[in-house]
Formats: sequence, C-alpha cells, structure tokens
Amino acid sequence: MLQFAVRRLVVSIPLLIVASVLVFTVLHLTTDPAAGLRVNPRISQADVERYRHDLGLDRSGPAQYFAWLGNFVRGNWGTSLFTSIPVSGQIREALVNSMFLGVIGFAIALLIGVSVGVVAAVKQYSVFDYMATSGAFIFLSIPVFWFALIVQLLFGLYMVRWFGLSEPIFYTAGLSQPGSVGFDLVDRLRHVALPAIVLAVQSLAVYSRYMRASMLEVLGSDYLRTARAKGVPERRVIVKHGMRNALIPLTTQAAIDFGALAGGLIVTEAIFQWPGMGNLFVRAMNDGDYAIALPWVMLTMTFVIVFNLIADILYAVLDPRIRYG
Amino acid sequence: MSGSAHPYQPRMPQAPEASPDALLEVEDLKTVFHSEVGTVHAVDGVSFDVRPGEVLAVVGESGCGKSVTALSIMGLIPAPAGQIVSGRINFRGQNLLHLHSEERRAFRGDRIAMVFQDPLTALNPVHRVGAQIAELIQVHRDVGRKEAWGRAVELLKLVGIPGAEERARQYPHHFSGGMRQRVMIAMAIALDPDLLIADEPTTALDVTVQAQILRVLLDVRDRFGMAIMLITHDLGVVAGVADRVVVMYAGKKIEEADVHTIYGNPKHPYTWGLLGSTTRVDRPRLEQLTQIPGAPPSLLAPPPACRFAPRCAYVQPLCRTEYPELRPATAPEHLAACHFAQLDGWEPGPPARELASRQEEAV
Amino acid sequence: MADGTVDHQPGPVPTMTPVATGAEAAPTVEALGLEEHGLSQRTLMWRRFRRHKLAIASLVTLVVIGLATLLAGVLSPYGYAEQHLDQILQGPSAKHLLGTDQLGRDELTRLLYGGRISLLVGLGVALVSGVVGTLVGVAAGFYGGRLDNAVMRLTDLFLSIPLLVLLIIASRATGGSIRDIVLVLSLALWMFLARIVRGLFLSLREKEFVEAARSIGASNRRIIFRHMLPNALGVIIVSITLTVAIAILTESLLSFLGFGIQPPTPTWGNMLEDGRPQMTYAGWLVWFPGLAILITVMCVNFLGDGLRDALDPTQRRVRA
Repeated sequence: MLQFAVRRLVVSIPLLIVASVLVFTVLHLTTDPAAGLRVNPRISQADVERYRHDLGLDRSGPAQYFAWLGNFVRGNWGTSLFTSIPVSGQIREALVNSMFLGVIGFAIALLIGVSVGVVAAVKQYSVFDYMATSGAFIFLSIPVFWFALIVQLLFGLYMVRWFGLSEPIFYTAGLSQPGSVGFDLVDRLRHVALPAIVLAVQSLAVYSRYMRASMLEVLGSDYLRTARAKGVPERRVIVKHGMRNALIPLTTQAAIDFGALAGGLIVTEAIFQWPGMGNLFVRAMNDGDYAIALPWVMLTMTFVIVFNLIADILYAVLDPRIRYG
Repeated sequence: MSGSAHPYQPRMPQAPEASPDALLEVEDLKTVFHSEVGTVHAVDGVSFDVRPGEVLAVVGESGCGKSVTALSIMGLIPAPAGQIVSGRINFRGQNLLHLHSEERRAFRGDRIAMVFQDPLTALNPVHRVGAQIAELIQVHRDVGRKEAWGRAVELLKLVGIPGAEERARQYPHHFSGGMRQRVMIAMAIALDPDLLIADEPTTALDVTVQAQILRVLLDVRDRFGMAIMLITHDLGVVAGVADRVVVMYAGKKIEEADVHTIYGNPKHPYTWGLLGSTTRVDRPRLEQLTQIPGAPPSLLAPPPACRFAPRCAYVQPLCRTEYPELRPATAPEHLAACHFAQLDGWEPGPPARELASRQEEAV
Repeated sequence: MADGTVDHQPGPVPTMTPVATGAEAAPTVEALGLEEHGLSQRTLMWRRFRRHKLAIASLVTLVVIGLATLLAGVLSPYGYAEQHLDQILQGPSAKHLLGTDQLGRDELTRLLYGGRISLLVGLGVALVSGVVGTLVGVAAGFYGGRLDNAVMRLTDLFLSIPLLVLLIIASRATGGSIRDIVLVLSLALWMFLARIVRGLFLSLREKEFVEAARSIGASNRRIIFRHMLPNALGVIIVSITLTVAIAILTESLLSFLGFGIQPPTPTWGNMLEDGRPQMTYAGWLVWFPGLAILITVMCVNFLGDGLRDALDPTQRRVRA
C-alpha cells in the first residue's frame, strides 16, 4: 500500500511540472508587469529597464522559468511581481481562510446531504423524496453566483428591512468587521455563515442525489434481502448493511471534493469578498503575476493529487472487493 | 426432534399445534403486485402443507409464483408494491399473517430460514463471512461476539468448508460459488430452524457443484431434522431429494403428490410436459424431448378457466370455460387440477386426447 | 465541491459493482407479457420518455426560449447596445418590460440577445466536446494500449486542475469572442465525456457480441460503429445534454468573473456582473438574468433525466 502511494505521488511530479510550464507560458506571453510603469511619463525608460532587470524580467522566458523553479523547490517562493509582499505568506494566509470556509461548508453539505439522500431512498416516492428530488434539481441548476447574490440581498437588505434590525444577523462580505483586530470566533462565524451556506447548498444537492441513487441500488440488492431474511431489525439493515455499502462511492467522491477545496472557491469568495485562495488567484491572473500564480497552481494541484490518492486508498479500505489479493 | 444436543433452544413460546401433521399450512394464499400497468396476481389462491422433517419440492417455470410464495411465507414481500391480500399462513398453528412486523421478524432466521439463489449477490460484500453468520445468531439470542463467532466457525465446518477458522475471516468474493452457497446454508441453519426454504439453491451453480449442495442440504436435514421447502424449476434436482412435490403454474397449484407418483404416474398435462422435457435414464433413447409450446399467460388478467389450456395438447372446450379445481387423482394425497385427471388411463399420449373428447361429449 | 456544478462529472452517477436485484419478487416486463405485444425498443423508449412529463415540459420550454432568442430582432424594438441615457435604472414598465440598466439599455432585449449567445455557446460546446470526446474515448477504449495510456495521462493532467482555474488560464490565452469561449470550454469539457466513453468501450470490448462480430470477420470500423456505438449512444446522449447545462453555467460564471465574453455583447453572465453594483436599488438587473439561467439549466437537467430514463434499455423494472 505504501509503495502504491509513493509511486502515485512520484508519477504526479511531471504532471505538476507540465502544469506549471503551461501557466507560466500563458502568463509570460500575455503580461508585462512593467506596463503600468511604461505609461507613466514621469518615469524614464532607463528606470523602467532597471526595474525590469531587478525583477529579472529581461531574461528569456525559459531562463525566468527555471530561475523561479530553482527557487521554488528550495522553498523560496519569492515576492509578487507587482507588490513586494512575499508570496508564501500571502498564500498561507489565503489558504487558512479558504480552509476555514471550505471545511465548514463541506461538513454541512456532507451531513445534510447524506441524511437527505438516505431518507429519500428509504422512503422512495414519498412526499419527502419528491421534495428532496425537486430541491436537488433546483439547486443543481441554480447558478451559484446568482444564488449567492440573492442570499446577499436577502440577508443584507431585505431581512434588515423587514425585521428592522440594526445590522444583518449574518454578514454579507469580508472576513471580519472592518477595524477589528485579532480573532473573534462569533464575529468570524457570523461572517462565514452565508458563504458557507452557499457553498454547502451546491454540494448538498449533489451528495443527496449520489446518496439516494447509491442507496436505492443497495436497497434493491439481494444481500439486503438476506439480512432481512435473517431477522435483522430494519434499522440495522438500513444502516449496517445498506449505508455501509451505499456510502462507498460517496466517500471517495467526498475525498476528491475535499482536495478540490484548496483552489475551488473562486466564485463564492469573489462575491462575499472572502480573502481566500480563490480571490488570490483571480487577482494574480488579472494582474498576470506568475510569482503568485505558479505556486498557487502547484499547491492546489498537489492538494488535488494527494486527496485523489486518499480517495483511492479509502475505497480499498472500505470495499474489500478491490483490495489486492 | 434432533439427535444432537443443540445449545440454542428456540426462544418462542410454542403455540399449541392445531394440526400435529403439518408444520406449515398455507391456505388459499393470494399475493399481488401493484404496477403501472395493473395488478399482477403472482400467487392466486395456493394451498399446501409442509410436514415436519420432510423435503417438499415446489416446481414450476419462471414466473409461476413459487418464489413469491416463499417470500410471502417469510414476510419479505416488498410493500407497498407487493401485498398479501388474503389467505393464511399457519406456522405451528399460528397465523403468521396476523402478526405484526416485529413478531414476524422474530421468526425469520430463527424458526424459518431461507437460502437464496445467487450466493454472490446474496451475501454482503463488505462484511466478513463469519460476521454475517454471527450476526444472525446475535440478533436472535443473547450471546456475546466471541461465542457467536465460535459458533459460526463450527457451522462452517459442519457444511464442509475446509479451514473454517481462517475462512470465516474472509469476504464472500474469496469463495467459489459452491462454497458461498455452503456459507448461506450454514447461516440458515445457525439456530436450528424448523423450516428451511431453499429458493433455487443450485440454479446459479455448475452442474457438478449442484449435486454437492443438495448433498449438504440433505445432510443438514438428517442431522437437525428440519423440514426443507425446495423451490426449483429443475426436475432433475427434485428426483433424488424430495419427499413430496407441488407443481405450480401461473400462480396456481396444479398438481401435488409424493415424489414417486409425480414421476411414475402424473396426471396433469403440464407435469407431463415438464417431465417430457427432462432427460431421463429410464426412457428409451430414441424418444424425443418434448417442448411445451407457447408461454405462460399474463398474470395481469389471468384467464378465468384452465390457465394451461392455450398450451395443452389435450385441451377441450370445457377447459376454456370452467376452471379445473384440484381433485384427487390416483390417491387422496395426489391432487391434480385437470378436468380429466380422474379418468382411467389418463396418461401422456394420443389416446388421452380420445379419452378427453369422449368425456367432453358425455358431459 | 467548489463553486458551480462544474467540478462534478456530467453523466450518470457512478454506480457500484452491479448487484442482482430481487427480480423474482417484482414484476418484470416478461411477467407482464408486454414483450408479447412485440413492442420495438424504440417504441418502448418513446413511451418511457412520454411518461416523463417533466422532461416533455422542459423540452417545450427550451424550444420556446430558443425561438424567443432567435427572434430577438423581431420581438424587440431596441438594439442590445442602444442606450437611452434619459431612462436609466428604471424598473419594469410598459415601455421597458424588464426595466433598464445603468446605461439605459433595455433589459429584455439584452436578455434575449444574451440568451442567444448563452444557448449558442451551450450547444456549440456540447457539439464540439461531444464529437471530440466520443472519438477520443472510442479510440482509447477500443484500441487500448499505448493510445489509451497517453489519453489517460493527458486527461489526468487536465482533470487535476480545478475546472474554473483551467478555464481562467485558458481564457487568458485567448480573446473574448464567442468562438474563443466555445473553444476554451470545449477544451475542458471533452475530457469528461472521453473518460466515460472510454470506460464504456473498455467494458463493451469484452462483451460476447463483439467477439461474435469479430469471429465473422467484421472490420474494426464496422464493429465500432454498428455494434458498440449504438450501445453507448444512450450514455453519450445524456452526457452531451448535461454538458449543455454545464457549458451554459460555466460561460456565465466566466463572464461574471470578467474572463469570458466581454461587454457590450450581452450574455446572461456578464449582465449579472454589470448589475451587481446596483443590485440594492435595481434588483431587476440581477433577478432576470439569473432566473433565465436557472430556468434554462433546470430544463436541460430535466430533459437529461428524462432521456436517461428513456434510453436506458436495461431498466425494466416496473414502477409501482
């Protein structure tokens, strides 16, 4: 098993290299970090050249890339091309914020999604099932950003108006109140609530459908009938026999989704102005700042690869049929 | 009951047995399924008994209702699509249909056990084999895990699985088809049930393995003394194993007799057809295998008269207008659902057609 | 997880190793004698589809929407870039059925034209990614070996980059025209279909009917097109349908983030982006484009669901 894992990871390294080259090429060919300076009539040409030389921008493409790569693997992620802020610090902070939001949303989605899916399957064709299915369809079709906007409107504007509140129960933007220092859990939770709900709602729909489909298949299986024929109480049949099997595909999918959390919250963060990885990436791409974009891509891809690996291992752990031997 | 000392005594208070002869009495059972296209009458008024310690074979082609009958007895008919609409199922005098689900559940696996057709899909793929057997024991008896596991290993040995200790820790996909079926049997007999229902236990297995499994079933019966209700479409399986045979067709029982009579002197044309389509060593080699032409009727709207009429080689107008109720043929214990079953000389062959039409005219 | 449904594969929910269902207990098509009436597969399919009323309703709705966008020029007296600076930010009224935006442009007109683009993109992407994905998937699944390996490696690479990230990177490399966007989206989405088709063909290849065809000397091309493809068609069609939904959603997402089709060409996505700043006092600028996307995508999803029910020949259980 360990061998398998290590081999998978090692094989992924070329993948990362290729991805980084791709991103670098695209950005290098489409950005000029000194553009802003060029149009400023008060800065001389010589100064612009000096600026470029300092940043190493006058070297060729490949030279720049390898210089960056050399530094990257040694742990030196450099500073942004546009500001002088160290990249590693920026990324770390963004990652923490994204994880906070992501984990909360993920947990909500998983817990509620699985429960709804199981109940909908057990009580197939009931009112609950019908509502759950319709709800899932609607949420699967809702454009996330629109839903986020509606939620913002609802909580930020309408509820305040209707209930005459002085401020919204759940905040609609940012990480914390402007001007506040330190970490206040309640305040943070009030800020994370809406983006987490928006995040959760999307995945919730998917998980409940997955779970329902998986559970339905299991409910029609022969071994469930055998369990009942043994006289096992229904509750136990559903949980110990049914869910134990039905959760397998969902668990691996959830592991994969978790891996995607690192880089995937782009839209939600944009709308709620959550200073996370998504926001960072959009800014970097808009600027063309490869010093931020490249480590970002490497980091998020590594996350995805690692969790995909975990998903596969998890699958083998949960389903003895696919173990070796 | 059985000779071997059995540590697991039945927990159910024994109801006074209304009829000391029968362990299980099925009376006029009717089970239907509701579907988008109508109501399917899968079992349409079937009655039979199972006596203690006997092997009763229930024979018929796919769709005749034999499996549904078994599931009805077990209480495993999926609601709301399926429904037992009328009839009685008396087990040791108690009508199972009057019990509510918790009481019913107490019987399942404990007093009445079932072995299913496809052992690969019938065993839970993610639970160890030993655990699945132990589960049955623990659900019905107050024993600890270790003890239940120990018993599971014993049972595996009993059904002839070598290396039972290690194998109990394995998963179903590690076993071959025949071995898996032995596991299923081990599981079913764990608590020494009074009745073991085996639904096509050999159909999914190789021919060579089939004989082994039947052997195991008989062994188990000899050792524990339970009755076995063997459901199959394969008459070859029935011959060496059954004591009595019930033949079903289109949701109805159409013949019932002891095994010798069924093979030696059957009285229903359908049974003739079934036997004619089986290879037999005691027949002249040149005899052709007969096929029964056509297909069973739709159970959505069963024909009012004899259901076999459309395919019967001896059919008469009477067969299409009046339903042939079961009547004693060669002996009181031998029932057949044919208008002409009681005629002298009613045997497969052209003369029977003559007989039937003459009887027709006489009526 | 992540935003948008984009990170989930279009197509059927992955199933576990198939288990036999308690078929003896529930009536099958045989038991009901339906087969005796000699209904062809196609007839059965059509009947199943018809029963799915929601799918029919969705189909009708989509056709209506499609027609409306096509006839935008006829239906609306305004142009989509036509500004009426004296009538900015007006709510729905008789003159402007869905109101105006901050430059006095008529919302309804923009919605209709925007719909044209969104639908075009959706269909275009579905077509391109459908064709490419199927071809690659067939080749990889059927021929296996090195080709399959190469395809898997390639798709592995692209699939380990979150979709939106990939799209943003790609869109930065191209312009903002419709053709570019269709290209960019197809680039990302063909891989999902390719993998599904590949998996399908890998398993179909082992089936007996392929062996049988081969044993009578059928050429590879014939085997693929006449024998295997028809079996895969159901899944492919459903996948393509779902790709339309994903393409529409993704296009709006990209436009919303500013990476997709640039204004003044309206798409439902960039209309949302435009409307956001004045959302609190001109809510209609946000409600309508969003609803448009929602309804369209929902209809496509329902349609896909109905198609899946209808086209799956293995589904023979009768629903009670």
